Amino acid sequence: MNKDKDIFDALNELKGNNPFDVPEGYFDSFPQRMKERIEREDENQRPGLIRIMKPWLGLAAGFLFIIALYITFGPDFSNTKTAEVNTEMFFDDGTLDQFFTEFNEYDLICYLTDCNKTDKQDKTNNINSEIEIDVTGLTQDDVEDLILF
Amino acid sequence: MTDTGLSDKKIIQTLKDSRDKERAFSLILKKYQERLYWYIRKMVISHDDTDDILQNSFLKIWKGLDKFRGDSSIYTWVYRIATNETFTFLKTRDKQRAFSINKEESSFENTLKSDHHFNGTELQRKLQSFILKLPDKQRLIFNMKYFDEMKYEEISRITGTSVGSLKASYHHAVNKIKDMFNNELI
Repeated sequence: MNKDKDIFDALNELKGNNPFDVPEGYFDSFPQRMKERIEREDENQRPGLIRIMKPWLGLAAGFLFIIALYITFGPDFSNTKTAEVNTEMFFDDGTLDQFFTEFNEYDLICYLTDCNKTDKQDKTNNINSEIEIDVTGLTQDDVEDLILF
Repeated sequence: MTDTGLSDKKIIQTLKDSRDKERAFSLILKKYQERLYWYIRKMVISHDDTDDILQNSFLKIWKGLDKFRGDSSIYTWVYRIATNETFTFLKTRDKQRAFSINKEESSFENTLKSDHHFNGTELQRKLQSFILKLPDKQRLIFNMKYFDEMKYEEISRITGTSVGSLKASYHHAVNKIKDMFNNELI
């Protein structure tokens, strides 16, 4: 027990004596070495052109990506417009009223039996025959006059 | 271990008034380089490792000086940084040792034996080797209390541990060292 006490007394006496030491001039040179280390770190972190541009390039790439996605998967405006126009034309109140007033049984039968086609063809033939001109007795001057009119 | 330079309050004032970061850093460096060196050295024993950790700590201080608002004292702030850097080093070292073939060679006790910068008595060497057997955090608390004679409140602010836990930890550390000495004597 006395030995134990002696050791701790001795330790307490030695407490103030630092058993470690440092290379000579270490603390004097440390601030300079630290300054150099900081300069090296700052140089490593100095931004290059790519580092400056990086956020902007990233932003631009992001926008392009969104645009590409929109073009690929976004709504097709040309189809939409046609569809809208068709719908408007079909559901227009005036058109509907006119359609119902003009509609009669004869039209329905014609629609079902394709008589319209035959009528139309007859009408077209008539028109064509009406505008047929006999050019056999015309001189060259008469033909030119016709072309000019 | 000399106390050089201005008081912490004046350093903070210098930083606030002139925003002269370099001047404030130079003052902190002048005031704390030796204190922090010995604080770290007792934990890692080797001078070279201490030098690395000290440089990393001051680099962190330099980088953090812009954001330092003086909410805590510079003293607490710089010690906290040095403590974190030391523990980071110790953790890395432990991981490396876990994969090392010759664990004995890389032990702190071996470092102490081969340290050319240790010039203490045999009793001091024995005390250091016993301290090195303590867990890292207990060792840190023992060093702060026994050698640096810090108050528990100061240690608490630096380590973020409650005063009660610190007292218990220090008490355990002292008893362990006493036991190791007693076993040596038997």
